This record gives sequence, C-alpha cells and structure tokens, in this order.
Amino acid sequence: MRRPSSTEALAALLLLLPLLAVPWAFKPYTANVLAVYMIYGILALSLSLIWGYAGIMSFGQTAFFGIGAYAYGAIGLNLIHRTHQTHLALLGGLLAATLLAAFVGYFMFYGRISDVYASIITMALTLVLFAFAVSTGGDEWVIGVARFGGFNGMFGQGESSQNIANFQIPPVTVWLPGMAAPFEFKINRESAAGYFLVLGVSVVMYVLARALLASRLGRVAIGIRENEARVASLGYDTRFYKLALFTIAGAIAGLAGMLFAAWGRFVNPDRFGLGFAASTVVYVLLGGRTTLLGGFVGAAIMGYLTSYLAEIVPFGTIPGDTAPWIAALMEGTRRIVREAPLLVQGAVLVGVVLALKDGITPPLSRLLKDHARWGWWIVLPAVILYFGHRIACQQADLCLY
Amino acid sequence: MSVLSDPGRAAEPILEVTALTKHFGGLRAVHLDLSVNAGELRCVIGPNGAGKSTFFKILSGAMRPNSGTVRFRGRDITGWEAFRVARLGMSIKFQVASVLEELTVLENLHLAAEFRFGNRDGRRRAEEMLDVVGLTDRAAHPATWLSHGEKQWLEIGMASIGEPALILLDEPTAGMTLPEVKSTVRLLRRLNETATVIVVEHDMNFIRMIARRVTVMHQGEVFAEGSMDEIERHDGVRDIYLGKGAHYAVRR
Repeated sequence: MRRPSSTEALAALLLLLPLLAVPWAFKPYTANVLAVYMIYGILALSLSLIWGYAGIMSFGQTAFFGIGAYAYGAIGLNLIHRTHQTHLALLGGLLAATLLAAFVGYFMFYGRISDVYASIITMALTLVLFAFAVSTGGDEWVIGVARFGGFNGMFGQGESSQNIANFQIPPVTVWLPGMAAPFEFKINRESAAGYFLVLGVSVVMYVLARALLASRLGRVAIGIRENEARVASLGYDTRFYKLALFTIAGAIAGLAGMLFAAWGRFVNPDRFGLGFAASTVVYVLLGGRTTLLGGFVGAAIMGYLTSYLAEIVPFGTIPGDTAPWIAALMEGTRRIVREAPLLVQGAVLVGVVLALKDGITPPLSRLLKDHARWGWWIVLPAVILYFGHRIACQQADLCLY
Repeated sequence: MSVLSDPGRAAEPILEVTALTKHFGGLRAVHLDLSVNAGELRCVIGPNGAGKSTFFKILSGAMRPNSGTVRFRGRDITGWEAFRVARLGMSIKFQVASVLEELTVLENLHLAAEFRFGNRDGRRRAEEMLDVVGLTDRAAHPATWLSHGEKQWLEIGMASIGEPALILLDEPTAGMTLPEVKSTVRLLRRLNETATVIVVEHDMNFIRMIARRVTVMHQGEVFAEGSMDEIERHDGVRDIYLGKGAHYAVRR
C-alpha cells in the first residue's frame, strides 16, 4: 500500500550494513552473541504483534518458543543421523508451536477471555510447561534417542540410558536434492552461515509482520485494541481475527525457539521459565511495543547490559587525594555496577518506561526522520568507514580486540 | 396512541420488536413493542434513562435481552452476535463517538467498507464516502485529531458505507453547532434514500428539521407514537419531555 520512505531506507541501511559486515569485522564470538539477540528479537516481535497491535498481552509467548525448541530438538536428534537434515524437525517445531497457539487461542478467544485474564492464562501455560519440563529428568522421558533431561535440558543418548550425554541437538541442516553434501548453518571460524540464517529470518519475519499489519488483519487488530465492540459492529468476527493473529504470533515465537535450539544446540526448561517470560515483556517494553523493530532494539540493549555491564568498571582507580565522601561515592558506584548489574538494568528499564512511555524506538526513529540529512551525510559514511576499517584490520589480523 | 401511515413507502416492516425486556438488577430498563417499516426515517425521543440506548444496544447485538424477540428483514435475530447482525445489514453509530482513534479517517472508512466490498473496492468506496461526509481534507489524519462534529460525521459515514438496510444513529448531533446540525440533517435525508434510518435524539430542533414519524419512549416503554405535530400536542409527552427539552433547546 505504502512505498518505503527515504527515512526507512536510511534506517534499513544503518541497521543492515553493520549487521551484514559483522562476520568479517569481528570475531565469531560477536556474531554468536548478535545471533541470540536477534533470536530473542524475533520472539519479542511476536509479542509486539499481538500486544502492541491487537492489545492482547500474552505473558507466555515463551510457551510457544519453548515448544518449538523442544520439538525441533526431539525430532532433530532422532532423524539427523538417518536423514542428515533437519527439514522435518523444522516443520515439526513450527507445527507444534502453531497448533498449541491455535488450541489455547481458540479456548481463550471463543471463551471470551480477554484483558488481564489472557495474560494470566498464557503465563500459567508457560509455567505449566516449565513444571512439566523440569519433571522429565527420569529415564522414562525419552523419545527415541532424545532425552528430555529435566533441569539438565535436552540431549541425545546412545544405545542405552546408561550411555548418555554424547550428542547435542543438531544445527539447522539442509540437504536438498542436487546438493552433494548436507549443509549445516553454524557460526564458527570457518562459517557464518548460522548468523546469516538468523539475520535472514529476522528480516523476513519483520517484513512479513509489516505486510500483515498493512492488510485487513492489521487494521482489524488495531481496531480491536482501540474498541473491540465497534469493530464487531462493523461486521467483523473479532474472535476469529484475534485467534488468527495469536496463532501467527505463536508460530513466529516457535520459529525463534527452533533457531535458539539450533543455535545453542541445547534447550532446557528455563526457556519456559518466569524469568525468560518476563525478559521478553521487558524487551518489548524497553524497545517500544507499538513498533515492530522495538523488540529487537530492546533485546539487544538488555542483552548487552546483561553480558557486558559487569565488565564496565567506572572509577577503576580512585586517586589518593580525593575527598573521602567522593571516594566513597565512587567506590559505591563501582560496586553497584560491577556486582549488581541487575539493579542497573532495572533502573534503566524503570527510567525508560517513566520517561518514554512508548519505549526507545519511536523517539529514535523521529530523530532519524528529523535529521535525515545528517543521517545520510554524516552517520552513514561514519558507519561505513568504521566497518571498513574493522574489516580491513580483522582480515589482516591486526585488530587490537 | 395514534398511528399514521407514511405515504408512498412500502408498508412492510423491516424491524419488528415484540415484548422485548431488559433488566438491570431490579430495574426494568426496556419493555417494548415496536415496528419500523422499510424506508422509514424514524425518530426515537425520550428523557434520559428512557432506555433508548439500551434498546439500540440490544438491536445491534451488543447486549442480550432478558426476553422478547427482535425480527429484522424477516429473521429472528434475538441474541445474535454483533458481527452477524451487522452482516445481515444493520449498522449502528453508538452514542459515544467510537471511531478508531489511531487509524486515519480513510482507514476507518476503509475498515468499515472492506468486510462487505473487499480491499480494493472498499477503498474506492471509502474515498467516495470522504466526500459525502465532508472529510476529504482530513483523509490522512488520525481520527483522534478530528473535532467532535467531524467524529460524528465519520461515524455516520462508517455506519452507512456498507450499504446497510437499517441504520441506527444514537444522538448523531450531540455537541454539534447549529450549522453542523443542518448539514447532518441533509446527510440523513440522503442516507434515507437508500436505507431505513432510526435516530435517537435529544435535540428537538433537529427532530423538527427531519420531522417524520416520532416514537416517544418513557421508562423503557413506547409512550406515544405519531407525527411531530401530534407528539407536540400530546399532553403527556409535554409533561415528561418537551417542557424540559424545549427549555434545553432555548438555553443552547
């Protein structure tokens, strides 16, 4: 319906150019970390789709994420050594998540459960699955060679239950007719295929979600958020539209879960847990729930704070002639940042939500729009120069970090 | 209660309401029998709390009655879901303007049109409707930017764009200035050329301007029915409503 504006083109360049350059500009570790941020971003995208647009706050998108991951793991572990590809595992994981979302959504929306009750039911769903996954530690919880493993997570066993812990969930592996050998999407020194797979899926999901929202489904969804009775009185069966959107969001979350299991080659009950469910909500809140990009932004920021905040050491050295109370303040700051990064994350979240009710992304995109000229002439060349320099030094093995 | 026939119109009822009741706790909000012929432009008046809005909500499927039946276009629609009633050709403008604030004016109309006409045809009709309700300049604005009167017109546009057989308008002129009321009257006459219209109103000037058949509701029941002149001569009606209504109109 609408052609992308030049600001959107600029934003796409500013985001995609660096992301495409990462495997050449940094060590594989960076690509690995960014891949998991993007996987969480896809999960967050699925939440902003139904929460930000249709106003249905699902606290349990992680249920579909976890089901996708477990189903992919179970099928993949069993078939990889026979078929040398994971096509069926991908299909099975997607199907499991979609069916679960359709099933739960049907009873929720056709049973006229809405608002806060939908949040409670989805949260209960993910917690029930968590409790179930935790209780699968015994030898009887085995599908073929895939052990559920309770708290320890899923892995493959050998000939017997005694011969355990010997292989992991396979990475996404493709072996199409005409290909000489199966192709594995991994992220390591030799290959960044796994990274590009995740990046590609992120872009496709984003574009898909945008197309969806520009269609009738999107207009009806926004209408439901605004005034459900009004939309019904225009002739739309709102239950059906809510179910459709919820199911699609569940499928996207399941896709993210499969990518996660294939990325880490591992899944454990924590993916169903309250902490992860809450993190997903936080990503969306922080990034902005009424933008589809918000989930990715939120996931990247929270991921960065979680992983690297503890490494930042403000006031590492306190000069001897500092006044005692200032020294105490510096020491306190250093300790809080180093030893309680969660406290800082919480403060960031509360600050952002108080200051910007729509999260970080809308003001950022407004900034870009208002200063598009600066973006084109200063920021974009700077980004290109920086990444060019990074790629050059990385390829020549001259980089300091 | 007098009965006047509306000459030149097909006399078959499009809407028949029989022994319809709705209770809120011990309060009986609605208890009425009513029949509206195809092609009519019917006004429903009555003091606050007479049950007019409740009646509309039951008709449109937003609320279920305790007993009684509603027949619309020959079918019993009592207790139907709102979207099914809408698909059978009844549309409603609620009392509180409930346009979809974050969608643009054009998107509001497009959404109202596309369930009936599909995406492309719906959009074309939405663009035509912009002209009819005088909001062409506002097409790309979010509905939340509209003035009160403009929102009412957008609502009327949304209620009529699906070519419904029956349009229910709950206080279409609430909060409008006199020139706005006059153009609303013209709009309503135009809608009435193709659809049956039932209007709930407080504003007696407005009722006089469209002056067709009037139903007076009081305490949930049909209190009187007839032409505007008959209603204004009716002593009981004056007591319960017109005295207050006339005073209200003058004060405005």
